[in-house]
Amino acid sequence: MAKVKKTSTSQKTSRTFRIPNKLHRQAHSIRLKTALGAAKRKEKFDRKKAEAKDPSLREKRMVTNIPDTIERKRIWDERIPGAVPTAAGEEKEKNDEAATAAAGADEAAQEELAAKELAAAHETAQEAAAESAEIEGLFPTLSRPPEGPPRILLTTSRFNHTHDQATELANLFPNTTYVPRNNDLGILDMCKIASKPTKIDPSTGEVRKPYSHLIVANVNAKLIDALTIIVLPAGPTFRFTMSSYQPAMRIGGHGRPTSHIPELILNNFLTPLGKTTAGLFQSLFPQQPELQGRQVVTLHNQRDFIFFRRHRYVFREKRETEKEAGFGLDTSRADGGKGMEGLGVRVGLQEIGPRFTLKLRRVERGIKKDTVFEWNGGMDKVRTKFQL
Amino acid sequence: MRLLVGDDVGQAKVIETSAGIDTTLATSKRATTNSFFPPSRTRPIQHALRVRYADRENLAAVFSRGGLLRIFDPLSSPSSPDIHFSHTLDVPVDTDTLALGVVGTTLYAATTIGQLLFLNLDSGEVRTITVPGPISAFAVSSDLSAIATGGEGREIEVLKATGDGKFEPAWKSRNVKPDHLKLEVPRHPSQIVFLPSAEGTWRLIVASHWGHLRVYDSAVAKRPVFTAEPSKTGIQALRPHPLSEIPSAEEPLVAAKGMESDRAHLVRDVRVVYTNTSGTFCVYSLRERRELGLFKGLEGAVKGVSVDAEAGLVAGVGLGRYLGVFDAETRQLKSRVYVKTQGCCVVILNGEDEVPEVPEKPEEEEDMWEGMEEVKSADKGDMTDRLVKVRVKRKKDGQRQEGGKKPRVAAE
Repeated sequence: MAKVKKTSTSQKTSRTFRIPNKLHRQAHSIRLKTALGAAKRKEKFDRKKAEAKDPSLREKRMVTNIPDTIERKRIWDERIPGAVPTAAGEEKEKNDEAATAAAGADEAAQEELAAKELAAAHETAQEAAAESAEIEGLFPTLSRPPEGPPRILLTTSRFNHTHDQATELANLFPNTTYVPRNNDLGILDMCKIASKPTKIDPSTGEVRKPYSHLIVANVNAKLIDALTIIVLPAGPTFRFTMSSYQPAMRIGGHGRPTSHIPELILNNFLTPLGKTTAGLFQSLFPQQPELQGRQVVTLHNQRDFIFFRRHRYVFREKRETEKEAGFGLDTSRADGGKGMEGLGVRVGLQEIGPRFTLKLRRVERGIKKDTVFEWNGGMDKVRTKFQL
Repeated sequence: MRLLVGDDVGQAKVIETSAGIDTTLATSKRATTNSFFPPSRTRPIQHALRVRYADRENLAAVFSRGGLLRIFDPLSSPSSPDIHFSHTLDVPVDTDTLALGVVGTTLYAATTIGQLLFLNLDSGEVRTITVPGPISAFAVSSDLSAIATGGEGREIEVLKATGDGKFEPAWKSRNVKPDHLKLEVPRHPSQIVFLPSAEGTWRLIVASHWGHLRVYDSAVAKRPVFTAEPSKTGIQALRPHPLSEIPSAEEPLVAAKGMESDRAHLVRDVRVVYTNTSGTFCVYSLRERRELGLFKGLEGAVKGVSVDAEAGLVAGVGLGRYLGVFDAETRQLKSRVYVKTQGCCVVILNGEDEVPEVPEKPEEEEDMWEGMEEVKSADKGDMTDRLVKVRVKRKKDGQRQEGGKKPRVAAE
């Protein structure tokens, strides 16, 4: 094959767009793509060989070749603590500069400087106290003395006759009861009944226990496409749309869930809204995981999409070709953690399922009132700005 | 501009900002914030006001859940605020507050259980009165001669002041007619505003938690003379717009007599600024029966609104954690500041923008300009004409004589 020049496929320079015959054009396009692919592959192998001989080349490449992802380009957001210089921080910097300048200046200037520092310290302390007070007041139901683990009532939208998906969801969250929807009751009525039940439980002879959460799954075309999660008795209310639902049965090599309380991993919830959302998921699971079950639920936020996965993990012996768990974790070491001793084992994962993706659409402070956040179409116009 | 924001965790934040500051932008200048009072989730500050107390101007009064009223100096040190007055009403700690205002030298405050506080701002004398509760809306007339209350499932009631400092029932409204399904229309007022009226009669604008906006004229009828439903969700805050025409007591309120209230128009262009629980923050005209425009730029429900008629400003703060200051007339965003916590109320303490100090030009620079040689005196002749010529726009061609698409003018 002739030597391939580095070429682009743009409309101006490529010959592909100037060949009038369609068959010739297609053939040319295939030849071109094959040649480009081969050249790229050759370059890759050559690089690999060179780097095997001289590992410093790879290190050099890794330092300079940082992929330009949207996450890395995330723009300045004052809602994330530490992401931006705060007024107090700026003030402190100025004060530091002034302190050095006024080291030998008069007493009045120094006093003024001390007062400014005191004010900045006060503001920082206030911020920290306010944040803890907010977290305390976030979920009124859960901030009370613990009355046991969360009890969740799951139901669907009206006129629903498919129950498989809802049953699977009910098995996902511990202590969940799935009750097919009573068509006569609205969400407010259901909240009232679920938070203050009056009926007697025939098994115990006592009044039923109140529920801590109500989940209403919206069924559209026999598939769940949205979840409304309400923290009882007074809110907040979260509405998520659900997509890419894959039941456990569809996942190759899936495991069977046990009734153990899973561990919970919440990834990348940064803004106050993100933290509120993470707090909701935290409140849905009892806070004492049963470690012997080795089950873990992951909610990973990326670009405002929340990916839900459930796995079972196992510590197995490592194979000779594998690196052990713990290898390279301590990046603060001079060698980047590569020389450190690992744990001598590897972690194996088995997905239990189901898989789905959530997107936060609305947060209300009460039960369907006092909007805190509402997704609108223009929000993803700037692709590097995220809400969570 | 100096504003005070009362937040959900009991802090009073004094924010110094100016037109053009938008903290969502990285390049913007930062506003300064001073937070007063230790955070407490049980004592959110629900109402705030600028007051003059004991001959001291520019103080701020804040009214928190549980009936705690404090008057302090917003310019004092935030770590040790200068509190001039503090009083806690004898109400349960979870009692929400309804109103805080000033009429002349009297400050009034109301709670949902019906306990009212009247404070003489000159002498510091406190008087408490209890009206039948629970109530969800409260207002005081401009001369303190009457108060209006309303509650869930209850009618609007006007109570008249008697000589001994008490109030007695004087007028009670009547609910609107049942709807087309013969169902009772729910009553749950959230805001009441008094309009000027003749002696012995009252005119009220009432907003409700069901999104209704109603105008009552006690001289005409017990039912409202004007009804509209601008919002699908409950109206939270209602303030007269600075450009609103307020009808005098003598002139009629409604344009045509005998018109049904849901079709009536007011004679004067009465405009109100309202917010609802789903995030709408707008101006509504009661004459045109329509929204005149939105105040854009704040996320989430706006809980607190403040209007400064002198400076022509409207400020809003709410669950989106941003404070927005808008021009009342054009509705343009003047300043937006991230306040970190969810706001409950806002008051504009000083609506004037500080004029930035322009540094005086050093004299040396002027001397330099004076000392420069004129171009005319240069050897190459006068170049100024050329400079001017470059800037002159090329004259447009006159009417085309031939060719082109324009119709030819027949030569005479």
